[in-house]
Amino acid sequence: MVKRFSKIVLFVFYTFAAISNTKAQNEFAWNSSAQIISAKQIKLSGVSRLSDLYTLLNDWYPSTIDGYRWKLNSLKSSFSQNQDWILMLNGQRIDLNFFGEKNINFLPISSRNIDSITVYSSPVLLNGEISTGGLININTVKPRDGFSFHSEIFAGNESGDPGPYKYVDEYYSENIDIIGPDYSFGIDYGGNSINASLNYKTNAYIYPSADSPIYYRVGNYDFKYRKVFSDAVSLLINLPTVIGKPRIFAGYTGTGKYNILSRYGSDLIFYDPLFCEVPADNKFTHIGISGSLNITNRSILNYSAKWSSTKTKNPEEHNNYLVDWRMDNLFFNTELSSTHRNFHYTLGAGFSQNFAKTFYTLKKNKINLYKIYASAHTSILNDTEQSTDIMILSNGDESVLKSIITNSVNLGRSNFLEAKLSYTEQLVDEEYGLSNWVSNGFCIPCGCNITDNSSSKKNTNVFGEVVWIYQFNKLINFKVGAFLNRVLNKEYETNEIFFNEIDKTIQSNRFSSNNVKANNYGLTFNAAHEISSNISHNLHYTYSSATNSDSIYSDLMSTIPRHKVYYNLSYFNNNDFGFNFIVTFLSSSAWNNFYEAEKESGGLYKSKQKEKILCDLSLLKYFWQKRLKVNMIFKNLLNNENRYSPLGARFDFSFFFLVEMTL
Amino acid sequence: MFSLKQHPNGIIVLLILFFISAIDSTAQNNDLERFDAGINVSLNSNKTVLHNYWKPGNVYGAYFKFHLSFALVQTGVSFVPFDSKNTIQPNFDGTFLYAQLEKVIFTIDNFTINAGVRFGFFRMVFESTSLYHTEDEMQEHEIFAGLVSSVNYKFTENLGINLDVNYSSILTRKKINLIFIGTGIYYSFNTPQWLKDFLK
Repeated sequence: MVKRFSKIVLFVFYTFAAISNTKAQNEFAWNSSAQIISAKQIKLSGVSRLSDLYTLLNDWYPSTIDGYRWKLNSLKSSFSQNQDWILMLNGQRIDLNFFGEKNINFLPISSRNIDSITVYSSPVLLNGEISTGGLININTVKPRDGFSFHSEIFAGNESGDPGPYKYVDEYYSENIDIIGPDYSFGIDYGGNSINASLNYKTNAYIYPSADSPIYYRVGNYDFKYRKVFSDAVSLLINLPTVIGKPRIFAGYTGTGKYNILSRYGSDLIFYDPLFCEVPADNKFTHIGISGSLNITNRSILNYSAKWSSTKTKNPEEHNNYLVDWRMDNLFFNTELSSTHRNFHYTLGAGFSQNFAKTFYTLKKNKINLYKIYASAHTSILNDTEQSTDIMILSNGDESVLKSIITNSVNLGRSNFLEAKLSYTEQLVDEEYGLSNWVSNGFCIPCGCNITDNSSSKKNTNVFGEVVWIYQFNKLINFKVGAFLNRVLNKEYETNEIFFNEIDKTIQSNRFSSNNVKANNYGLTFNAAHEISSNISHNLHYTYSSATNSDSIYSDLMSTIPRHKVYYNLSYFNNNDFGFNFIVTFLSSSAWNNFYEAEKESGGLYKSKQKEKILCDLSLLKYFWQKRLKVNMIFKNLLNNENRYSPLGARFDFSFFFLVEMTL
Repeated sequence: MFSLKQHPNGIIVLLILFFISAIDSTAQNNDLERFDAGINVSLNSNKTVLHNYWKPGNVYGAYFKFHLSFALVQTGVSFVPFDSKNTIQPNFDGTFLYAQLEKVIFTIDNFTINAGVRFGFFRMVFESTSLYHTEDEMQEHEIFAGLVSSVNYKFTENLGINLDVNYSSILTRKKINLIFIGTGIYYSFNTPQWLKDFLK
């Protein structure tokens, strides 16, 4: 520990010594792995549920079983089995996880509150967090001056209902039903000394029990469990003239009998140990504050603190599933940032505590994590920029090192080169994985088999990326990149799948193992063109594949399409009309552990998902001098088979409308 | 060969092309100066699997059509009853709620020929049966998309009649493709200022 600390001190000393002769730096693209999604793009796309944002992400692959809870994998990082990517709201960390699930729709804000989103698909240090799985930071909109009121309604329909043929035996099929309606409303106040936004939203959702793989698993549940209503309230306050410039976010989301205004609707969640859906009431509570203090005219002290709680519990009549889990998270972080003529540095420290609660005693229910970190951004040579981030994190027993080095070079003639290298160690205690908590005493239902072969308490991730950027002219730019990701000692889990012929469901034995050799590499290409002030389009391609890896990791990576092509065309006449058109090509994906189940089930559970082209179109029209906004959204226009998992629903052509009013 | 029957969503692709063609058109000062209010009646003219079980009645519709520089935008509702041909399937009422985009493709004297695309929701309300009798169970909604074409004749500056044909594909699991031929009458109004302010 002492040796490592000495090396770090020497490294930091060298960095600061080297910057003593810095020269003026040129401004050019920094952190090309960041994708910024603007409010204009969000409005044009007709984003209503927060998970709709996932369709706008370039280097990510979203997947879902039920269409409401989505998993997200950065295509540049290692396979994120436990949803290790970090979600932030205005730089405040948001912990929504229930083990390996992170349902962004549970964040108690609506799309109306979003100003922009910054998305990092490769390792980055932000507000005291380094994530190898990527990071998404949502920036909320500042209310306009004075009071304003907003409301929103969203609803849709997926094609494929039986219609009148539900009365004809020969053509009978299950009802797919409508999506939503979702409502939201809120009051905003904007002023010089205070900005505040009070919001309420509700999501109504019917579990897609009509689709045959799911039907056999959930068909026996009462309709009240298959029809979900979630309520959420949130308060955002910004006090820019108060000492510390605090930004406060408080919010609550819940399903089940504690709903605020909606009718009872317990969630159905896919519960990994049982490999099927179980009814569960979910709650999320968050209260946090962040801000900054001007120390000198060059130095700022940033601070952030929050407490949050996620709770998942079976309804009383289904408590034999033993899901009764609450995770409280306490987080505090502070950092001193100083900007000088040619360099910028940050020194920070943070603490977080995860406190698990259930109705029985766990072997270990509290995890404390301590961290110190430093960051320096400078130019040593003309036309270059360097950024170095270092963090030491400890759980009191073990410590890990996280570091990121990024270099940008202006090659001249509008050519830029960026290189990033990161070495990050991660404690198992930092993850939300189910296996980790099983080893801490979390009970799984009788009859479930989870074999834990893991012994390692930490893993290592090495990531390297090179990106070449060419600014053809003011309106066109190109980016070409290559990346390599290597993981050592990480625990991965796999399932041995068995098909039950009697009830046509799936059972599984779950195995976890560490010392898995896990490498993936890839290429990225991006071309962006502003055709005119009204029209722009963007083409993005990502190739990501496992290489030289153990079969358990290769099998996990094969569930993600190797090729993703994303094309987006946007038009807005700067007055009252616009549209957004997206075409996404995804190559095929395979679940090798479902191969036998596919044969035994006669194709009910498909081990391979074919390649597909998904076309989405959103039309936007403003009325009443922009007080009223109407989006008509068409998803999967070509009605291609769109399924993300052998266990999941199929998502056919759907039509949605979104009406938003602001007064 | 691309077939609308097999790929009714191609109608939506046509919609995209329609909008792209409209990009070059900028808002003109005479946008929304006039709108039409009309009524029409139609008959179903084709036979599908649906017709083995139900007989569509006459279609009665009403609409508003707004004149923009790049297109005519119409919103409307049409009602059509379906009578069961046996005792197993119940009668049901169908309602089309739609938005339509059309362009004038040919003009001579007081005649115009228009063509466009239509999409919206088709709502079905069934009679109660022993199998399905709750309010939720007796109703169905489904998306539909369609193509429209009409010949319009203006008697006066404001009054006109039309003959129209429309093809609607209701995107149920087993698609319902219906062709309607009809006639109607419409009247043109100057758009009141408050409505112009609302629509812009």
